[in-house]
Amino acid sequence: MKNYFLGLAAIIIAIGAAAYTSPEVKVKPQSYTFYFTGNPLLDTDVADESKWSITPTENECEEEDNKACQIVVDDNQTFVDVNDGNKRKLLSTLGIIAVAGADGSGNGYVPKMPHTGISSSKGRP
Amino acid sequence: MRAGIKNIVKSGRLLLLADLINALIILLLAYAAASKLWDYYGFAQVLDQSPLLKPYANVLAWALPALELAIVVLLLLPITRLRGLYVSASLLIAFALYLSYMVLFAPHLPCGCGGVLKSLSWRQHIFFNLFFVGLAFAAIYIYRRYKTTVSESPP
Repeated sequence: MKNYFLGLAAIIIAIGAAAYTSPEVKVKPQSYTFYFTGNPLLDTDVADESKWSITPTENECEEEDNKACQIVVDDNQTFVDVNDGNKRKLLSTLGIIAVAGADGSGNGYVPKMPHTGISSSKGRP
Repeated sequence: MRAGIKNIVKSGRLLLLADLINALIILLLAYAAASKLWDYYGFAQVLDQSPLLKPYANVLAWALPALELAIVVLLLLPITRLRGLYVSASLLIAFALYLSYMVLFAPHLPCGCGGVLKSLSWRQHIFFNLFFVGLAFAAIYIYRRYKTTVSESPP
């Protein structure tokens, strides 16, 4: 036990210090709407975070969830890309999943995430 | 005979010093891993901005803290401690090389290090890492020397 004492003490201090210094969880994080710029017929495009842009597209989104159009995400699921004119982008670690649209015809995909971040999505008709 | 006992006593003190260094490295790695996991999205955001790590951000966001925790386990167990010190020294050298790259090519980006280490500048962080690399090699030297002293002393 003597051999482990210093190491275990260090681990306990480290976890305590990390919990103490970690940023506080925001009660109500800011949310952003991202617009789909890829091909909604391709599941690979819908699942690709780089195909979602903060800049609104010309396409209008409708309530029917048939094809990917727009999503609303929390602040902590985005980042400001300093290498691209400080443009806000989706984190590539989000892990968006493309699922078949609401009509089930297989003619389009909509985004879905295993995380709780996407608070709403609207599809194209 | 007297010199031999003195040697072992001296090694015993040095061994305590090596154990303290080992605990300090455990503290550093466990703190870094816990901070990254606590603020997972914050860490992922920083990786996404790094020109060098962006393609691997998805994997690194969880693999890096996992690796740090694995090294903590190696350092904790007496049988794997020496190997743990070699691996932690290698990881710290790799971090220092990455930090040097960032100083040269993207000094305006934030650091992906967890907790209070975020407040260090890139340059300060390089020296901080190299200091711990020095400590790791000091502990490796002491543990190896202690092993030799014990195996050479009469039963």
